[in-house]
Amino acid sequence: MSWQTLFILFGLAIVADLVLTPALGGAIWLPYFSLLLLPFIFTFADPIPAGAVFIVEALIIWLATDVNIGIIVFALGILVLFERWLVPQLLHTSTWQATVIGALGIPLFALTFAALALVLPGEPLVATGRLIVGFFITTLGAAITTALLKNYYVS
Amino acid sequence: MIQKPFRFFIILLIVSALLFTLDQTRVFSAASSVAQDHLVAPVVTTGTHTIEEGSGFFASLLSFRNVISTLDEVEQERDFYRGEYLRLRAVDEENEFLRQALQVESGRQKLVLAEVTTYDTFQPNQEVTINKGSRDGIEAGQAVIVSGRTLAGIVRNVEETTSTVLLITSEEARIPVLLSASQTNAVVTGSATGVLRLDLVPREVPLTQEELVVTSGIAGTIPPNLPVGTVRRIIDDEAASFKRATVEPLAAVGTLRQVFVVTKL
Repeated sequence: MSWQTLFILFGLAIVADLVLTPALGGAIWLPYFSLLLLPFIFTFADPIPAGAVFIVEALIIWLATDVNIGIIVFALGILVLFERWLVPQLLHTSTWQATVIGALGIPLFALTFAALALVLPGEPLVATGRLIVGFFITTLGAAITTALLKNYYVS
Repeated sequence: MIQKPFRFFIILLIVSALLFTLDQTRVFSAASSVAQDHLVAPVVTTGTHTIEEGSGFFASLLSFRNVISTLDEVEQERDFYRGEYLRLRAVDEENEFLRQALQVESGRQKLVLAEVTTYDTFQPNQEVTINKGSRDGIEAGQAVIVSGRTLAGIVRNVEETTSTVLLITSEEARIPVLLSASQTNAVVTGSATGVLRLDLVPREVPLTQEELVVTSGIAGTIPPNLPVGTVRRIIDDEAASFKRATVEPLAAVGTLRQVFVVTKL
C-alpha cells in the first residue's frame, strides 16, 4: 500500500470523525474512525508516513477533547511502542493473532489517556459509558480493519 | 519495528512533558481556539446538522405507515366535528330566530312556533305546509312571520294539526301595505317568478328605491308595521293611472324552516 493511499484512507476517516462521531459522542467525542486505523498504520506503515499520521491524530484529539496535548502525545506514543515493538516481538505481524492483539492497542491507548487525564490536575475528562462502549467498538473495528488492510500490505 | 524501545520511551517522555508544560501555561490556547473555531467547529456543525436532517428524512420515510394511520384518525375526527358543527349551526340559527321573534311586542299578540313540513317542489314560492293547526289556535287569514318580524305569508287552509300558508310571493297573495316614507297605502302582490309587485301608488306620491314597505294592518288579521320588502325598480308609466314597482321581499321564503303564526291581536 502506497503512502498516498494510506493518507487518503486516513483523511476519509478524519472526515467521518468530524461529521459523524460528534452526533454519537455527546458532551465529549473522540475520533473513533481514525483511531481504529492506527493499529494498522503504526504496525505496517513506513516511519515517515506513520509519524505524519501520529502528529495529525494528536492534533485532532487535542482539538476535539481539550485534553492537554502532552497527555495525548504520551498515550499515542505508548500505542506506537505497543504496535511497533511489543507485538512484533511476540508474534509475526501477518498472523491473525497479531491482528487481534494489535487491536488491543486501542484500549491500551484509552487507559493511558484516561489515567493521565484523571490523575493530572485540571483535565476535563469524564469516563462515561458512551466512551467505554465507543472504545470497545473501536477495538473491534481496529481488528477487522487491520485484518482487511494487511492483505494489501503483505504481498 | 522500533530498534531501541527504551530510547524511544525516554524521548517520548521528554517530549510529552514539554508539551504538557507548554499547554498548561496556555501557550497553544490561541492557536487551538482559532483551529477549533475556524476549522473543527464549522465541519462538526455542518456534519451534525446534515445528519440530523438526514435522519429526520429517513425517519419520515419509515414512518409513512404512521402518517397514513394518523391521517385516517384525523379524517374520522374531521367527519365527527363536521357533524357537530352542522348541529351547532342549526342550534345557533334557531337561537337567533327565537331571539328576533321575541322582539315582537307581547301582550296583544301571541306567537305560535311552527315548522315547515312540506314545500311544493314545482312551485316553491307559492305555498308551504306547517305542522300546526286548529288545535293550536291557528285560523285562516293569520299572518305568518319569520325572524326580524318580516311577513312571510298568510294562513290559508287550516286542519286540526296542519295548515297551509300562502306565501307573500304567491300569485294569489294580495297584501295591503304602507310606504314607510310617505305613509301611503298601496298593495303588494306576488307573481309566478317570486317577485313582489307594488301597485296602486298614486302618481303624485314620491317613490324611492330601497324604501321600506310594511303591512298597513287594514286587512284586520294581519298586524300593522310588519316589514314586507324594499322597493327595487320603479315603473313610472305616464299613461298609467298609478305608479308601480317591484319589491324585494325581506323574508327568504324559499328556505323557510321555522315560522311564527300571529294568532291573536
